[in-house]
This record gives sequence, structure tokens and C-alpha cells, in this order.
Amino acid sequence: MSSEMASEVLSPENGFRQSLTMAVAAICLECGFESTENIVLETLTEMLQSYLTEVGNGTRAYYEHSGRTIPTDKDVIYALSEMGFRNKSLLQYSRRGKRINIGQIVKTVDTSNPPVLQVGKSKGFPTYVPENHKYPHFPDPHSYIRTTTGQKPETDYVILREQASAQKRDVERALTRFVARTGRSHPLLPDDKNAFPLIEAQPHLIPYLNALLPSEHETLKLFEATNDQNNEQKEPEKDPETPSKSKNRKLKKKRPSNETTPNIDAPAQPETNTETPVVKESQPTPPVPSVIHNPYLRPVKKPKLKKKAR
Amino acid sequence: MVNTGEVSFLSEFQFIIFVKMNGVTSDRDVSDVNEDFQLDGGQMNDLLQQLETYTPVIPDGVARHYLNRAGVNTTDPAVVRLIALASQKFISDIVNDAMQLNRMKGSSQTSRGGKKEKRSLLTMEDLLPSLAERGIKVKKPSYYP
Repeated sequence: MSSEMASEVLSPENGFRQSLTMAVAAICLECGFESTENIVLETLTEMLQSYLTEVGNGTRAYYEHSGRTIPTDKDVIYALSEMGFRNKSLLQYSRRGKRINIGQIVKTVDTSNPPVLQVGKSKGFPTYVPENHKYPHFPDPHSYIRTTTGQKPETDYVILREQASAQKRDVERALTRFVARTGRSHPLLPDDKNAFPLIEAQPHLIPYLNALLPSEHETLKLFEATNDQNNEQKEPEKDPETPSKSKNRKLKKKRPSNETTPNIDAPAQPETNTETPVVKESQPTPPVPSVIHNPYLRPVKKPKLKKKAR
Repeated sequence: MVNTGEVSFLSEFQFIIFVKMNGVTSDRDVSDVNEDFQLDGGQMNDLLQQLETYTPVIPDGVARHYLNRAGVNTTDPAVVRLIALASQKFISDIVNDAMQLNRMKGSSQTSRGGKKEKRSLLTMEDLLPSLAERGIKVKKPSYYP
């Protein structure tokens, strides 16, 4: 078969056209021709392309007229009849012996859609639809049937109370078991070590220390109080402080009985000792310190106005 | 595409269609209105079964491409193959008629006693009358401008 293949422009449209030309050449070969003129080949290719397009148009008209989006075989038959095609001869033609097979075009791998999970059985077609139909199946019933989900909340008091207590017990048990399992544990039963794990007690070296030491809250409060008193006491009272008058004035405040401890200056002591509580007692309100650290508590100072020279 | 069309349904599977294509009518159209030329229901099933095994000359991808151009959205290979087969038959009929014309011309011109001419060339001279029978008028340029 001496037929020139046009390979001027490498476009997909040309590729399809070329395969049509090949098909035409195969048809001519099948009919008995060994060669054709180039123009004959082009003419027949053009006719084949137009025919394919026209049948496609007719098919589309028919299936769109029926309100479908996918063609069926009937639509094709109708379209072919409309174009004057003798459909009956198709059967005989398809059974002819002498055939030339070009072979399918190898396609690149298509990105196929992943299979959709089917939930439930989809509806079947009515009986008047023939079995060899190629209509698309009905969608899953859940796409058009709606059933409400969820449970009604419990309202019975007895049940709710029981559930609440059970939850609380379960949570406690789970939590204690978790701590016992992840930390140090002490088994209750000597035989079964995993049945009742108890959280191991970790005793301190000096057990009573915790009881004696003051808490952080108390420490902080006293620290603030002593700071204020230190600032106030520095100015009015500058008499020599006896060893008993230590900086830690809380001892003086809390244990007034200790003020009578033996000192070097015995006669002078009671005087100063009695003075300090008197001084403190006469001032029920905390004295205003000379330096206020908080700027918002300081007295307002008027800004200096500068006379602008005009 | 079609100016007027009447459809009458005789039965579920058989139908007759009167066709006028673009105002051009030929004798052929009237003769096509005949039950013998249309497919039966059972024959349809046979044809579809045949299509599954028989691959038309036009590859599936190519046919699908031209159908997409026309606006047909297909996933069904049977429809594609049906259209491809019909188109193939259309061209095959034309070429067969041209072959008969060629043989008629060949038998009348060459002597029977000589070698049998095996090589047959399909020329426009054979094709044009074959197309004219179907109402397709093709004008061949007489010279290259």
C-alpha cells in the first residue's frame, strides 16, 4: 500500500486524523485495492471524520431529547437511521470473515477514580426496562434517604445518678491504677502483683518538717509586712538595738513574753520594750512609708509649665 | 440537521422514520423506509454481543475523541464501537462500489488472455461516481493552481 502519511505538524488533532487515515487505508485494503491516490485517501478521511461527527451529533440530539446525559445503543440506531444508514446490514457486516485489525492505540495510564464505597443496596430498575440496558445504576440509597441518628438523652434520675457514680468510680480507679503502673507501686496481694497495685508512699527524711515550716502564702504575707515595718521603724527609732531586737520583728510581735528575756541593760530594756509596743499600738493603721514604690499611689505632682516665648 | 421528521412506532423495537436531510431528498430515502432494513430486537442483542468481540478498524480512542468533539459523553465502549462500525461500513460500501466500477472498467479494457492485473489502484475516477450515487458531490480540482 503506497500511501503518504502527512507528518508535518505534531499536534494531537493531526494524530487522530492520521489514525483515521490509517483506518481508511485498512478499509481499502480489505476491499481489494492495493494502492490509492493520495487525494482519494484524504477525501475518504475527511468523509469518515464528518460521518463520525454527524452520527455523534445525531446521537446526542436523541439522548438529550430523552433527558439523559449518557447515550444508549438505541440512540445510536435512531441517529444512524436518520442519516439513511441501513442498520440491518450492520449485523451481516460485523460477521464477515475477511477482517483487517489495526490494533488499539496504547493509552497512557489514566488516573482512575478510586472505587466508591457502596453503602447499602441501590434500587433496581423497573420491569419495563430491558435487561441489556446500559443505563447508569441508581446511587446509594443513603444519598437520598435520610434517617436521624443519635440517642435520646436519659432523663431518669435513678439511672443518671447511678451512671454518674459509676463514672466517678471508674475514673478514680483508672487514674490510680495509671499512676501506680507508671510510677512506683506497692502490691496489695503478695500473690498477684498486678491485681491491686497501690501507689507507693515515699516518706520524707524529716517527717515533721512540713508541719513546722510555714506555708508559702504565710511567708509572703510576713515578708511584705516586715518590709513595711523596716521602712517605718528606721526613722523614729534609732536607739541601739539590743540583740533581742532583731530584724525579725515577728518574734517580737508574736511572742511578747520573750521581750522579758535577760539582757545586758536591764533597766533600760523594759523602757524601750514598753515603748515599742506602745508606739505600735497607738498606730492602729499601718504607717505611710516615706518612699512609695507604686507610682500610682504617689501624690500627684503638677507638671512644670514652661512659658513659651512668642 | 433535519428539517422535518415524523416517527411512528409500530412496536417496541421496530420503527420507521421519514427523513429529509437539509432539503435534499433522493430516491434512496424513500426506498429505505422498509422494515427489512431495520434491526430487530433479537438482532440488536446479537450485534451488541458481536461488538464485544469484534474490534472495528477505527480505534476506540480515536472514535471517542471525535464523539467528544460532537458532544457525546461516553463511558460505554459498546456505543463507541457501534458508531465506529457504522462509519467503517459507510466507507467500506463506498470503496466496494468503487472496486466494482474499477473491475468493470478493467475487464472491458484489458484483454483476458494477458496477465491478470493484480495491482489495483483506487483513483478519483472510480470514487467520484460511487459518491455521486449516494448524493455526495465531490469536485476534483482539474489543475494545481
